[in-house]
Amino acid sequence: MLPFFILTKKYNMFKKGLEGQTWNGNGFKVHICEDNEKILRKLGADVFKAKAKKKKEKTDDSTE
Amino acid sequence: MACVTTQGFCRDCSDNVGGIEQLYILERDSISAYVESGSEVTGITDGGATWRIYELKKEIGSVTSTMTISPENGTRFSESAIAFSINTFKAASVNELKVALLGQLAVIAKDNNGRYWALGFQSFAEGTSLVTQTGTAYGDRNGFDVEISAKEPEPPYEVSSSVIGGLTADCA
Repeated sequence: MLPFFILTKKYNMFKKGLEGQTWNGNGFKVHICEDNEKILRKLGADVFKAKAKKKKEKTDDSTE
Repeated sequence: MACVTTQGFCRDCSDNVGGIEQLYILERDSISAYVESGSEVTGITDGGATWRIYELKKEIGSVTSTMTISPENGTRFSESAIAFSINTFKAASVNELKVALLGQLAVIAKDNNGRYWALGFQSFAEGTSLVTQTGTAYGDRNGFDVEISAKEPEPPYEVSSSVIGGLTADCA
């Protein structure tokens, strides 16, 4: 059994409502599911959620 | 693969109307991808391209899609024809229609029930006829009769109205 955080990591990789549908582009027809993640990424399919940008930690530049 | 039926068709309330009221036209190359499920398009990636809207008068436009099946060869395809008329025979319209119809197109037709249909998505659509006429009698049409055809594997997909709301479109 995989740890819970790994199970949930992939669960929401696709944009809302796209999982289970079919992506058509570049002459390919690919079912949108976790198993096809690699091929969808290779084809540049715009079906994935954007990664959240890491916030830069505030640095205190003031010198005392 | 077995073809399993999933539903029947009950008698409806005769609440439909015929005809189309609007067309959205774009060069097919501008669509890099689309998402489809159960014959419904729920997403179009067009890079923000501007769809040309053709607003039609009442009862002068139609979409006819005919699926041809060859049981002996195990093949099928759908051939759709979009026919409509545009009024006023003038140079600017000739130029625009000529360019539009000679290209490879994707077309979304809005029918008079408010539903949208995608033609030229599976395989591009193209102009097959442009008739320009002055008419004879005062009451005749002075303008164009246009036909666009699309030969595709499946009948036209329906386009979710939420997708239409996200398109950049212009009728000017």
